[in-house]
Amino acid sequence: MRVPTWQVCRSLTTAGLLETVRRKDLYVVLILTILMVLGASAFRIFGVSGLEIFVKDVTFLAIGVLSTVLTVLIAARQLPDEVQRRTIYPLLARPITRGQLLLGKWLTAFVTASVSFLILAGTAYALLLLLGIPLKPIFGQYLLLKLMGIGWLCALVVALSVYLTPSANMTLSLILAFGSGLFGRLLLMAHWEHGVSALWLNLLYGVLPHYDLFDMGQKVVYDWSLVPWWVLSAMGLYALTSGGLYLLLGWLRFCKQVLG
Amino acid sequence: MRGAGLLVIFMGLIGGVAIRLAMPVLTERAETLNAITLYDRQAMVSVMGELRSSLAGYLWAKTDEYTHGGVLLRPMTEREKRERTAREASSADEIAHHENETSVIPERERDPRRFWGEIERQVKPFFDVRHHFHRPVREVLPLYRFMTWVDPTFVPGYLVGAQMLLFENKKHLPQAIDFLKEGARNNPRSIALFTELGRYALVYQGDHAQAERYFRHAIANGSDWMPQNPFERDGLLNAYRWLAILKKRAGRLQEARRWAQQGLTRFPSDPVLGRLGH
Amino acid sequence: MLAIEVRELVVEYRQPFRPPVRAVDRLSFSVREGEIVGFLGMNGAGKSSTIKVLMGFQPPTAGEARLFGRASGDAHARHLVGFLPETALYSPYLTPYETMRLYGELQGLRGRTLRAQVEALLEAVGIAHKMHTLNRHLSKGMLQRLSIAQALLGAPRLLILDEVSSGLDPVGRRELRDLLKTQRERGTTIFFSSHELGEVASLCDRILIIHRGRLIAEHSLNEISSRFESLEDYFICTVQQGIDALTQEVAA
Repeated sequence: MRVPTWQVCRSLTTAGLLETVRRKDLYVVLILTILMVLGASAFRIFGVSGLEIFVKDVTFLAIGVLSTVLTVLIAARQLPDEVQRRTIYPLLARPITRGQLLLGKWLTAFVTASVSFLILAGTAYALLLLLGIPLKPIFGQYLLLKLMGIGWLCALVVALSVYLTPSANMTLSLILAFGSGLFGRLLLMAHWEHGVSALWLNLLYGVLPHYDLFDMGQKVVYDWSLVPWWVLSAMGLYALTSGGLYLLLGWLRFCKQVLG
Repeated sequence: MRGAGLLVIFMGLIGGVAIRLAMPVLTERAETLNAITLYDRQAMVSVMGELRSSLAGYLWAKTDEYTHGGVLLRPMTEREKRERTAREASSADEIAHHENETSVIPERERDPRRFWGEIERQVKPFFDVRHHFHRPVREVLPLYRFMTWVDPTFVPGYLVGAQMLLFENKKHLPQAIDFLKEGARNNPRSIALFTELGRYALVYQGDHAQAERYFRHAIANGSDWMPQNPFERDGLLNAYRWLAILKKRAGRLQEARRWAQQGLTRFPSDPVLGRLGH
Repeated sequence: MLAIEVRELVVEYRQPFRPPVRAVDRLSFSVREGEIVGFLGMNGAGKSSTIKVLMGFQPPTAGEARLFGRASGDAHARHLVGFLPETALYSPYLTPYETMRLYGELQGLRGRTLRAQVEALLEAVGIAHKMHTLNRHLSKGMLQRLSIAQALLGAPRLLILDEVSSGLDPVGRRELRDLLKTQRERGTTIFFSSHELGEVASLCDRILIIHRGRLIAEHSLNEISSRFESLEDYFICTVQQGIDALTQEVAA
């Protein structure tokens, strides 16, 4: 008898959430965000008023950077921690497959990172409201898109954790997450300046990770109006397909991996 | 946790002391300082000074982004300038001129990425640069106050900030002049700030005597050194130009020529001074 | 029915720019249901590698290993097996109760059955009073007791125990012996590796000794006690003979 996948995912996610609540990472990040928002708004005390955009800019910069770092940290330790503590053995000794374990670990990372992100964003939203800086409805779309991005990033990091050492994984994942916008720019410049063909450009662009496209923070900062829903649907589809592909590649290796 | 808290408090105290120590140094621009005086200062003072300058520089860079609602502009490449393959941002109003600048995210017609390009134009702030707009100036004004508060030696902040105050409302002239005067107090060896004060006195107040005093002060500040900073360099050049024009308008041609010729010794290839000097 | 069946098992570890290291070399043995078998050998003899293949943690290079007639990697086979790893440092941010719940749920247990089993097992291994203390505050011995408890979740028909008494104090060892005896009375098959020969002598029906990945001896405890004064003598003598035989083989 094999344990159903949903039960594996639920059990691992519950344990993962408990661990995150008891770790210090989330609280450190939360305190940092609060300090950054309050710090940016504190200049009012010194007679500099009207810095609403600046406060929003700092807030969304803090949420964007810290939630990404937290997501990478959470996802990168899911499997390596089990191997390092040798608890991967009692886990795999259960009537579950490695595929189920990988999926469960991805879901744990996704749920945990999403909850952490929502706590960060919720706290920042409340702080901004307290400071008299309301946000436009596009903030809802920002949250939704960012959650998709977190799911996608977790898939990438969990898959990479099967191939790389934890420190190499974290370094590469952070480069891919923060540098994704830059890679796209460089490709465009190569197309215009050096005549790289549109076909190559699109092929390379499709292969490169696009975490930057999951962040609409700047549109929220400058109070832009809602984006069409087809954009969110398309990004959801992209997150599903490319995230699924990353997990598939991770699973192919994890299935054959000698553990310990 | 307790240890980390104590460390933060300790670092805060050290930082606070360093900022206090840095204040006298930072109220003069580095290029006007005696090199020995600069090197005599402690490393910590220098680091804190760099932090202030960096933050002011960051805010300076942000002002452009803020006025465009988050849309990022970039300078055109040499090829784009030559072949006109990129669209130049229009200068739709008098707030800012965007010569040889285009948007970082390309327009649909120029974007070979098709679907991906469309997604990026939707999720990031984007507009067609031919019809670009500026947000109300008042939203960006606090940034100039903030950057000059963070770094009182940041001369461009005072210069452009005062200009923005006037753009927002012509009635803000007294505040703009006060802002420039504050900059001049914090940077007594600046050239550009005194030139700008002179220009305000001449153009907006019609006070020729006061304007002449400011221009002479600016020239005196630049008498023993040639600034490399473009703001200060332009300030010196303009001080000579304005002074020559001022004299010419007053009918004192001899004096006008003398100032122009004096200016030509510092800026030999300047065509305006060249015309005024003959 | 055979609980464990190992045939011509070979385990090799690849290394970059070097010939592979053979940890298990054409190993064959079987364990009948209800038997208690001790798996002995010196450090690096290949015990853990064999156990890893049995549990499906790594694929065999050649040969096969079966649990209750199913391939060792099969998730269905593992439903009947409880496994105790050599040393596992359970999540420092969970309590023994939460750790047991996690493994119980992954074993397919739910609701009251799960709760009852978790509480009974924690009681049986003597850490019920610490069930809501974070694992990071538990001693090494307590963590080993937790490890034993998780292996017993779901009342497995086969227990595979790797270095079972590692980290336990003398009292803990006696309690563990009693626990395993209870399991034997229930008809559970037990296959375990240990360096504690006294423990092996008090529990086993049969002993397998491997050296450099090969099975060099297989005797029942009755045979051993009729020929040797102690299990320790038997072990040292057998291993020495194994070394001599291998040396002769290499020389030949």
